[in-house]
Amino acid sequence: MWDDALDRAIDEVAHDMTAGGQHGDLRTRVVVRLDAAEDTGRKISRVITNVALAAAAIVLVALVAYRQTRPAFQPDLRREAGADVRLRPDTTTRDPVAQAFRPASAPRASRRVEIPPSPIDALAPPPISATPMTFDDLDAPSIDLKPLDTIPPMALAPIDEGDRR
Amino acid sequence: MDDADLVSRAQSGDTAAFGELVDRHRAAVYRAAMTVLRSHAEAEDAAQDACIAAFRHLGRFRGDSSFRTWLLTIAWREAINRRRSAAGIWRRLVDRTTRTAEDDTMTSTASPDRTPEQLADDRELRRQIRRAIEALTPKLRDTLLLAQSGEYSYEEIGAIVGAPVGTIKWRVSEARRLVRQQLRSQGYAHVG
Repeated sequence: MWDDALDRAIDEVAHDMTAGGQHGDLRTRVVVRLDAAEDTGRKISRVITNVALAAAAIVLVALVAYRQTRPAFQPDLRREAGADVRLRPDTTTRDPVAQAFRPASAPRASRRVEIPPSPIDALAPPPISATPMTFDDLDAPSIDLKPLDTIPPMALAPIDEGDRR
Repeated sequence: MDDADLVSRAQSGDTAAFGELVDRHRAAVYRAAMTVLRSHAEAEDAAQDACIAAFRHLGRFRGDSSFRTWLLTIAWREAINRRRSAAGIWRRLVDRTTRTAEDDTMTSTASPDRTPEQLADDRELRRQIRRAIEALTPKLRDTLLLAQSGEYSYEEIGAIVGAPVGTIKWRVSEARRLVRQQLRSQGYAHVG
């Protein structure tokens, strides 16, 4: 009896502990937030699109402006006429005419540098004249080596199957 | 129009349809958050955030459970996360102190046929019961509050907190027993 009454009191208090709240406008607040988030998303995507379009337009305008202001390629006609242009000899290829008329026995210019005689050379000693040395053969008996005794072959019997371990 | 139709429309981006779903289950969502947080302001915010999260994850809802149970599970997790956050502890403490004083006043004015002494006794008993409930472990307290809120079946409570129905029933019984035991230890032997 006492427990039942107490349980009822407990249940009432527990019920009241979660009661209350002005959640009647929860729907409104949630929908407003969702719509606001959607609007924000749309605004962000719109801004991104506009920025991208503006950047593309700026690049396009800059490209057109650069093409119009850039000086066109004009070759220098005075240089083309050759009045004061000096051509350097072509060293990359050999002249075939000069190759054909060059005498075959004509000595080629030596790359070795000729050194003129110096007065110091007079101070050099005369060259030494000596006969080459000769060596006679040694007179000694040769070493006599005896051959080794031959070892007779050993006879081995095959191992049985049981002895292999 | 039933929940399934509204969910289908909401999944295609219809916020008005989702608003209708929120309106249908707002009391259950609020009580689930209030069970955990026991602060009106926190529960309102948690319920709102839970609904927003539910709309954003509506594409994952496959209909394995009812939309109501799915929404309540989200609200429960949102409230649990808020309870664990340090920032919410202070706000709940202030809000709870204010609310306790209001509840005591309501009790004394809600029973005009009782004598002032009886009203004072009732008020004191309720205060002691509330303290005993708040002293329970979170699992027992949450289950008792959900069960006594009158909003959920035991099956729903089991789905929300992730426990079998038998466990839910045992927790409610155990919570009551511990509260009674606490009141007896404070000298309450008769409730009239």
